[in-house]
Amino acid sequence: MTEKVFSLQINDIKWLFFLSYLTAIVIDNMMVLSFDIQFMPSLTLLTLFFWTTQILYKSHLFSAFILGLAFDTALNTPLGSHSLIFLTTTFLMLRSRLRFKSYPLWQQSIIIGGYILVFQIMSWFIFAPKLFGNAPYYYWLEPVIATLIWPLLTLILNRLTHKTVFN
Amino acid sequence: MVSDHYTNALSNFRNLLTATIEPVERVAALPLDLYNWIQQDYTHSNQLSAENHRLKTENLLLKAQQQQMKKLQLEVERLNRLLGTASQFKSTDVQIASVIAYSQTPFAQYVILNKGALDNIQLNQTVIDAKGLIGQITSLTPSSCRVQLITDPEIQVPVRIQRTGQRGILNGIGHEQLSLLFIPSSSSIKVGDILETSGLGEIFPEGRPVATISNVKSLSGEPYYKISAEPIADLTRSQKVLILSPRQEAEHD
Repeated sequence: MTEKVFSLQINDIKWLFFLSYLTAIVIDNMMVLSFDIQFMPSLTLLTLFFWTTQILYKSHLFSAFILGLAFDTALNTPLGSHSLIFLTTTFLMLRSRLRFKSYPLWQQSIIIGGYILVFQIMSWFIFAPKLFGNAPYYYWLEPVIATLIWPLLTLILNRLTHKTVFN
Repeated sequence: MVSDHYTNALSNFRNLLTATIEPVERVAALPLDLYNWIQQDYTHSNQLSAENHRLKTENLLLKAQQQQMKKLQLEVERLNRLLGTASQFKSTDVQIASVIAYSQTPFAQYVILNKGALDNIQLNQTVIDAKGLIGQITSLTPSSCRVQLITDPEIQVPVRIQRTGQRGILNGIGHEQLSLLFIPSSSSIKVGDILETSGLGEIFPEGRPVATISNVKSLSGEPYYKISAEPIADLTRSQKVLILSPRQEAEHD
């Protein structure tokens, strides 16, 4: 038995799709360059997770690769390293996105926290970040922050999507 | 990933990506620019007057020192000719640049300068401030460049201890901290010693002050000291820096 699941069409939300990524990249860069906040979960990756669960007929792996490259360029890390992490976490999300979509928001947030934890573990092994003082606590707190951000991000993007599609 | 980490094969591709993402970074740096602009606007005229007075005094002192330097430079050139060694640093072979933004994350540490390929800036040029070495240019866009700071974990600077001439490798460990490697336990080193570039590796010009020794630990059974150092340059506070040109750097060879 097959069931049809509602999936957004990229043509309906083309501008919102690109602008959301652009805004997320700007905010991620702003945190580092303007506010000197070094430990925040990547809003770009969270936005990618959101679209992965909304636009179901696409794999989003190409987007993950390109966004990873943008991250490598912005953070001055070896080209392809963030792409690898983005691709891995997106792949994990792809494997369970239909189930993920059916979960209540609080449960989704916890799973997102888990994905960000994978992101942090991979970053730990690939970049060997130099953490002093309280930095290790902040570093491992990022999944918790992601858990808190996810409902807000989902709410905002859902509203914007709704406005774009139905207006 | 491996290619970018160990070689310069992807440097042009990185430059292209940096140029693409530059507008995003400019927008991201806007809140900081706005904050600086507002802060500047509220600076009291008395403060500006006091700063002007201080700068005039400093300028006078520097001019006096420059006169002495010219005399010393002539003397050094004469001695170099006698010894047949390479010529020395020429102060005209530099470009002044302003810091647009800086980033200090646990992964990488760099500053963005307002000079780029259109200003004849090239990759691997050395950047200094009034006090000492800041880093090396690692990527370029037409109008800006990125300088990897000496505290970046990816960068290693060949240095020597100014007092003894003992050579070693200075490694960035982030958070304005450096680690001096390969100094044998038998050598003479103490807290406060100044480290300067040794010129080995032909990347950084010789004789630039880099760091001050802050801690020396001797581990039993280990052939080398465990040494910590602090950069001399104001890595995160300098607003104006100097980019040394390749011609001038080549003269040290």
